[in-house]
Amino acid sequence: MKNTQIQKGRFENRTTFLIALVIMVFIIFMDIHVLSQTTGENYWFYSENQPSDDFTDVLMISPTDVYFTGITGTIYHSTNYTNTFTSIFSASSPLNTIDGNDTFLIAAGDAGYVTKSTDGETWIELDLGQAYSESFKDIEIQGDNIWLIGTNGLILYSNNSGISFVKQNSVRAEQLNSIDFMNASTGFIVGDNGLIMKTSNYGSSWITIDSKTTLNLNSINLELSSSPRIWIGGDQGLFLASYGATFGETFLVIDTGITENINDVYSPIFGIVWVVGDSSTILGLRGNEFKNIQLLETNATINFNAVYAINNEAIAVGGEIYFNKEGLVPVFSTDVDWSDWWFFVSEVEPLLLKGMVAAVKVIVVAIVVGFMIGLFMATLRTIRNRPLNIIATAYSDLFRNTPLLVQLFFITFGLPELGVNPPLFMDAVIALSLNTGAYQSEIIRSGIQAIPKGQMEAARSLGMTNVQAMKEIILPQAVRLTIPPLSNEAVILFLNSSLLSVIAYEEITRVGTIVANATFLYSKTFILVALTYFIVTYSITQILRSVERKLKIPGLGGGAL
Amino acid sequence: MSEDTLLKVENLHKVFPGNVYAVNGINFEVKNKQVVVIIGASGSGKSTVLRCINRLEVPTDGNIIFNGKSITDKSVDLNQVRSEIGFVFQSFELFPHLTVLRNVTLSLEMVRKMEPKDAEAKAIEVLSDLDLTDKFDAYPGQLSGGQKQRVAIARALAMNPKLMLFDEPTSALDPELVGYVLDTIRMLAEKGMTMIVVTHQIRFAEEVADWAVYMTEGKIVEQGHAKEMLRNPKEERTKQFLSSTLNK
Repeated sequence: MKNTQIQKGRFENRTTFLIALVIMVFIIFMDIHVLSQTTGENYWFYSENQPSDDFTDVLMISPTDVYFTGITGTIYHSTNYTNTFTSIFSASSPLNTIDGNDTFLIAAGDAGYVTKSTDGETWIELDLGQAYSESFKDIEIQGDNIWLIGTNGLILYSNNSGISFVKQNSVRAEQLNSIDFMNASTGFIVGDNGLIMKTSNYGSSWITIDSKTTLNLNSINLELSSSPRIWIGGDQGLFLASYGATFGETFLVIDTGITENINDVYSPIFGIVWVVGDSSTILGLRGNEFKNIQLLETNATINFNAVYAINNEAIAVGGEIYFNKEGLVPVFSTDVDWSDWWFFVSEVEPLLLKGMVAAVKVIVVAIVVGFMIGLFMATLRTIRNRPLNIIATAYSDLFRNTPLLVQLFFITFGLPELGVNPPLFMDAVIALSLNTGAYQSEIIRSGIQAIPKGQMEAARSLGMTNVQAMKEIILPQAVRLTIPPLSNEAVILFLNSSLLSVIAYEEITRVGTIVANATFLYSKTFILVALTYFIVTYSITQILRSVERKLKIPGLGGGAL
Repeated sequence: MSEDTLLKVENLHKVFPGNVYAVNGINFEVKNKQVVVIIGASGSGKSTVLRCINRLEVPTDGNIIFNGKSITDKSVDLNQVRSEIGFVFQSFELFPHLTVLRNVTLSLEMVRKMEPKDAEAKAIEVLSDLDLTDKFDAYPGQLSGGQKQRVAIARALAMNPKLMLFDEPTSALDPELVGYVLDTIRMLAEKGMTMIVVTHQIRFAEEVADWAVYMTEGKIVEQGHAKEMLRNPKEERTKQFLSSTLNK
């Protein structure tokens, strides 16, 4: 007797219990701090307390050990995510660039000025062997090897951490703007008038590579992985890439959609490139798809001179300093030990959460738009008008008798051929809305037809117009009847959103695939992916169930009339 | 047509798709304040006649003149005509998602364009007359059959119709509830409401109706003053029908 009572009580509280369970899992699974950070589109934050200067370069040893150079010749240091700044040194000439490693830092500027520090506090001007009037534009450090480049094609090289320098021969006399090496012997330099040079022997000799452009190239960055890539930014939004079989030989133009001068490019990890330039330009380029370019606008109208990033954290400097905690979902790092389950979860969940937000965004819009389409089409099907009946039926039949995946492909890849090229998000929304609209129109139509004919007759017999009767009498009842099938449709649609992964829309499944391919932890990854879907779909069901209860008509059981 | 005539049905025909001849040439009149009952076996076309009168069915042929105007005419404003003819269904057809009060006020606001406050006052008045004071906020699903039918009557009455049509108003009710609804119709008759009632309640018809019409196979077999015709029918078929109905 006692047992039955307990069981009965349990049964009645089952729904409450499950809701509580979902919320608990949600809280454990999703870090609260991540939630609070992902509420905005723009993750670039103006660093308060920054000194006033025109910042020429930034060097991140870590997010809590960052150096900045200014046009005033000052070197600044920040040890707390750019919350506060200390001015540590003032040079006698403007500084253009800073670089460093674990053991020393080097900054260089106009009028042949170069300075070095081993502790970050005391700075000593380096003896270059002779005086140079040229301005230095960039520094490259590989172990004890140092290169300094600048105007008039000047290249200085030291193989002893800067104790002595020798001049190397540039092929051309153009201003050299940026230098980056793959290893101590092999590297690249870019300069004005489309100059690209390469060396394979520590810079003893340089050869030019045809860039097919005469625009000034301002920055080069090598993304080092098993298949390395080169990124180059230049004037008028020119953006070049080189990878694959013709790595370092052929440079392809990547359309960034901007015309501002690009002043710096930087790839912190495989799969992400930050691009900064004039007029507050900041681009994040992600993954293998060049389609995934995000323009993140700051509120400032300043020119950015340099960008540096470590993993998710990035700093862009120019007229002002901006800090980014986690701008883009990075493509997953492959060289980490993932055997610790909780470490794995903590690394993956922010990515899945972003995927979830992206999927929910699409689904919410698609369901709302689909419901409007469904309501409209269902009405067209039930009124007495043959041509309109046929149009509505044709729409519904077309979208219910072809695969969603094919519809998605047509809209994403077919529409651009026809001259319409909506952004990826819109591709996803259009495909899912049209698809669910067809199903929802069927559901709503059956709801309308389930309302007894007498209801319409009663309304009309009172003198109401067809539209009034539809709006006040038929649809309110039909919609109540359709809540259970509609909530089912919402769940199916959300699960079907996993198809968006094939058009590279970064939703949950897509994130899961990227993570799994990088970590090789397929079962662990897809358990987390499945759990993410479950949380969302289960919440949808519960919410709609409570809506159904709220809308329930007293004295009317089970939805029947 | 005398000035006193509210409704005149002339040579009414209704053929449903598939050559189903439901009504085959019907003629009768309803005078102001008159109560007309239509009796007949199931399938004799009684309901179809009623439904043609407020154009829930489109007559195939014939003429219906209501309040001096032909309502079979194409130019007629149907919603206007319907708002002046109350219709009470066998199956009530209350709007289940609306409260009793809202069932009554909705058409007052939508069709009569009354202010919500005035509509509510009118609805309360009519519902109170029909002894439904404690049901304003109830939903139809919470009412008994008799109460539902009285709400349906109130909903039609609130529009101040010139004519009320009752389509077998007690057929869907439990026997013990029939009396409540008949009392209501009786009350309306005493107040002078013009009505056409399709019914199987012969005793009630005798008592309340002024004029009776007996139909079979879509035709009128006999019509006359209710008391006279229902007690002493002239036609053999009427006699048979009445005796079989009364002996049930």
